Amino acid sequence: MDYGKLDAPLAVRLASAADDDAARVFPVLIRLTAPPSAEQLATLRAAGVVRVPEGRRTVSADLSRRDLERLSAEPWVQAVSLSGERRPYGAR
Amino acid sequence: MEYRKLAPSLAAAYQRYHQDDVSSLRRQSASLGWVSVDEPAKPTRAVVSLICTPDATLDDVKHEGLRINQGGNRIRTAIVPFDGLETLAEHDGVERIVSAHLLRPYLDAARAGVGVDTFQNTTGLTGKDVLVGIVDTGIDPHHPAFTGRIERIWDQTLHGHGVPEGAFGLELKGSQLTQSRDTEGHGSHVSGISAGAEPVFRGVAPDARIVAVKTNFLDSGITAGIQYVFRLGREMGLPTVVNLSLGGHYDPHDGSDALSLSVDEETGPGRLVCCAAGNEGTDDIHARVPVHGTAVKSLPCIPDVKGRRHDFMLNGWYATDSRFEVAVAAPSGHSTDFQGPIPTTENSAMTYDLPDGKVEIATPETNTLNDDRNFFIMVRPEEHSLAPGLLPTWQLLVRGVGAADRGTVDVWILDKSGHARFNGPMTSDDMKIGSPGCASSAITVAAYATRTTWEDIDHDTFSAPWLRLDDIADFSSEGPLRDGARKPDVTAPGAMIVSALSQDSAPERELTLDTEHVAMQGTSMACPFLAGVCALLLERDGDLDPARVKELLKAHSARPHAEAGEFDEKWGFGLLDVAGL
Repeated sequence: MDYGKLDAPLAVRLASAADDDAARVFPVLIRLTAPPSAEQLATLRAAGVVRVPEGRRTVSADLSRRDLERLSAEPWVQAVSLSGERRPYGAR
Repeated sequence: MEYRKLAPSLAAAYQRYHQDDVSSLRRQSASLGWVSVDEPAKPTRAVVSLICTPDATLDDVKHEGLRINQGGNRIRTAIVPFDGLETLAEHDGVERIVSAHLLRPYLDAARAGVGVDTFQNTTGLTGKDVLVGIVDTGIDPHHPAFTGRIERIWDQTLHGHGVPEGAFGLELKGSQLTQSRDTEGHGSHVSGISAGAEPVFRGVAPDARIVAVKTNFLDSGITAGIQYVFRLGREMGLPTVVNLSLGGHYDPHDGSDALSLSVDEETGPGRLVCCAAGNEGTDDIHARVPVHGTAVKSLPCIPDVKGRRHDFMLNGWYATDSRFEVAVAAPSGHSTDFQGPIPTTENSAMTYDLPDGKVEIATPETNTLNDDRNFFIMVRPEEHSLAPGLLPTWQLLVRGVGAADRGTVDVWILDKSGHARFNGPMTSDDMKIGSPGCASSAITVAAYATRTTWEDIDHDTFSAPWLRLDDIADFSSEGPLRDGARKPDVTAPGAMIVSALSQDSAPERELTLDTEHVAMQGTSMACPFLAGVCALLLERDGDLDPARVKELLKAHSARPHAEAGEFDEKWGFGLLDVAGL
């Protein structure tokens, strides 16, 4: 695992998550260095990134620890961030 | 009688009319547009608006005293004797009948306050052939404000195969739209401000097409939702504006997080994103900790100002030319070890079990998206750590690794309920605009009060003493960003705003004006106001890009008694004057 590419909230989640390498329990945003080539697209899909919008550098996915390890090692993956939860900015 | 076609207030009045309850009718007649209640020689009549089927012909509707005014197509006005309501309601061309009181333009103050009426009267722009995307809690497809204009709903909370941008949720169109429900009501209200169209309430861009994403509110869902809306816009050949009345503080507050970068990636000519600045203007959620060598600085953290037990998080950022260590001290005095930046070869997160609860601290070497240093701390207090009568106060401890390590740490406290706060002199009333509002290309909006009183469904008058009429709302979050970038961009009406009420939501009664409208406040309301304005601008020029729109807005915005172009961390470049755009 290239921990240098994981953001701090994802590091915390990894440290506290159950030890099931295959469970897709990490909702993440993956930032790529460039829109993926066909080969990189295949790697992303093999690692569990189900949908990759064409020509985009940011993709979302639910990954397992094993997928994270695989993708973080790729030089064309710039960063992986845990999907934080946002909230609406209105009140009654 | 087809009661389903009558607005509830009209249906109730119709019943009272038949019960000969003249006193009730008289009490409401002035505000509801009923006439001749006390004149036996003339039939009691109602001034109403009719929502008709497209190109309906009502020439064949005949009843003594009934007068349908000329003009209009789907929306027409009429004076109808109560005895003639049944004839009108049973006509195939009439979809709904609402009392004239609903014709009060609730957004008058907001629209007039920033010159939208003047602008639209001059230009005729209504958002036609522009797509407005609302990524929010959903939309009420039954609401008359949106009739016939919702292209799609992607409900990320329903089980399904998703869309090309995300393999989750269910995409709905046509008759399927009603499968999605806006139980929170926030998204419907936001949609109404931006693109509502009805006699009751006129949104800023009432002819715009609408796509709603009922999001799961995770960064990944929001990102996919933005990408989805813009793809639909491309496929439909329409310029598109996406409204994001949401946010949070998990990010570095400089626009370098993945969600903000995704916003920057999606925007361009004919593709705009508007974001709410946030509602934490009066909340102590940000602190600046000056660090001088190895001296320990202590920042008090209160998980909940009401003393309830809540997990909370601390998100700290500082420049890469220093190395700082952090620790957490519990209310009992026990504390974790100090933890500094950890090499990338191992996980930067460590867990500490204290008598008061569990603390997890991550201190990566650097962040690869902005090259700054970051620490993230999760605190999970135990139930027994609460001392009766005392607010449990935790402490964030910060110090330099060595004597030469100096600098400032910006840190935000966050929790799911929004009740966690800092305490003490290091709290700072700036830099409260988080992602996606800090995205460079996003048009980020602060909130202004154009209405502070309203009349509820029971005709009781309420006021909002926390607001000052015709002034910035205190709750509106301040900029600038952590890197000094100027945010918010502009200010727009955001309190109190009356807009569409989702029938699947349950608002407080005093904020409910009738069965179709509710009052809300927030930068969530200012944001769609601006998104509506952007839709008008895109109708005029479908190639406008974020930079050009910001130039236009900046040139036509100002704080009271200030020149256009002057930046303020609360107002941005000031209150928008739409009339001059």
